[in-house]
Amino acid sequence: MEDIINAFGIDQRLIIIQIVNFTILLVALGYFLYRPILKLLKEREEKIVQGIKDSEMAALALAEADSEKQIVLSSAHEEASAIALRAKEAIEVKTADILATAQDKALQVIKDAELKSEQLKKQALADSEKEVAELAILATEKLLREKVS
Amino acid sequence: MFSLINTAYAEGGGIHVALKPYIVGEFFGIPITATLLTTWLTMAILIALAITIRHQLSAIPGKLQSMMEMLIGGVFDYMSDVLESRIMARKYFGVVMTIFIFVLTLNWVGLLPGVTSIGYTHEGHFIPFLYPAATDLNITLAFALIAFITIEMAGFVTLGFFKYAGKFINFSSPLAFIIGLIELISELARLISFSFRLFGNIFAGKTLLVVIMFFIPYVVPVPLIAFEVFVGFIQAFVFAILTLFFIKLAAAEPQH
Repeated sequence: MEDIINAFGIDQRLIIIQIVNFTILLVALGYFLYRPILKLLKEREEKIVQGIKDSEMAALALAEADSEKQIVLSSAHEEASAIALRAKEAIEVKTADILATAQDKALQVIKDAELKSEQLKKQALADSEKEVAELAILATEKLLREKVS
Repeated sequence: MFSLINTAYAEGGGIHVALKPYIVGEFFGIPITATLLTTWLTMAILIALAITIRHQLSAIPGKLQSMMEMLIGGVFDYMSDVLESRIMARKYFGVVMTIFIFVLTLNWVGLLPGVTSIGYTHEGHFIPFLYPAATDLNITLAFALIAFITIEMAGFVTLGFFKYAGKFINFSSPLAFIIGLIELISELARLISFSFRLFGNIFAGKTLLVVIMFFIPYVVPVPLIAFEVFVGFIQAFVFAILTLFFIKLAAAEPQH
């Protein structure tokens, strides 16, 4: 045993010094390297998880907004076509009204015209009768005058 | 040809390979070895790097920070998977990660030019200032002890003293007693396997490089150095991953 220790130059003080060296390095690396880097990695992991969660929420919100947009659009479409339908109906009713009124008016005008022409006819007849009578009277007067003379 | 004395390089026609660490000097009676200096240099590099990264830390990472984030985050996630608990992973992360980073950097620093070649001559022997740290059994033994203590602590903390001790000292049946004894021996054998695996690999690599440089100093050592870079990584990885798996085993409920 002594020979082995001598051959390899084993010295317990050197072993203890080396253990102390290791401990110093362990503490130094732990303080300057392991702890800050593991902390940084953990923080980054948390940030990534938070980022993914946020993006998922954003995607959800976007999908909600999209469906809402669809609902709003379709209701607007429905409303617009209802309005258009109503307008068409209103126009049709109004057109019919106008047409009816116009027809009435036209009939009235025709009626009036007929009445007026009838009246004019009657007037002309009366006038011509009066004239014929006057002419007859005048002719009679003339005949009488001739005969008298 | 080969001898177990404090020499670093080919000397006078022979290659000397030292099992003992080179003693550069003494400080209050404590020998200061070349491997210890290398360890301190490595620690300084690592701490400086850590402080630099700490000061440049930002939410949007640079290249260095990205690399560190991948390494630290990846190892932490892997440990959480293996230990099946983030709390357990947080508890043992520091030790496992430091073992990996420290052993890896020690192995790679050991391959830098200047390490093993810059030094002084003392009484006819060349003494380098820096030498691959894992070629010193004191250092690998220290790592093995740290891993061993961490593993045993994990067992005691997770299962409680008596339940964990019951894994090794079990009188419920003769078979259970023998199995417990074998478990105890294999537990203690880890100290040896941990320390000698790292020591053996790095020492062999270093020796191979010394031998090849003695015979063919140009070009040929390059692929070997590249291979040693790989070995350095694998050894650090194996050391750390075995520590992790033994922690997992120690913390597992005993099976009857």
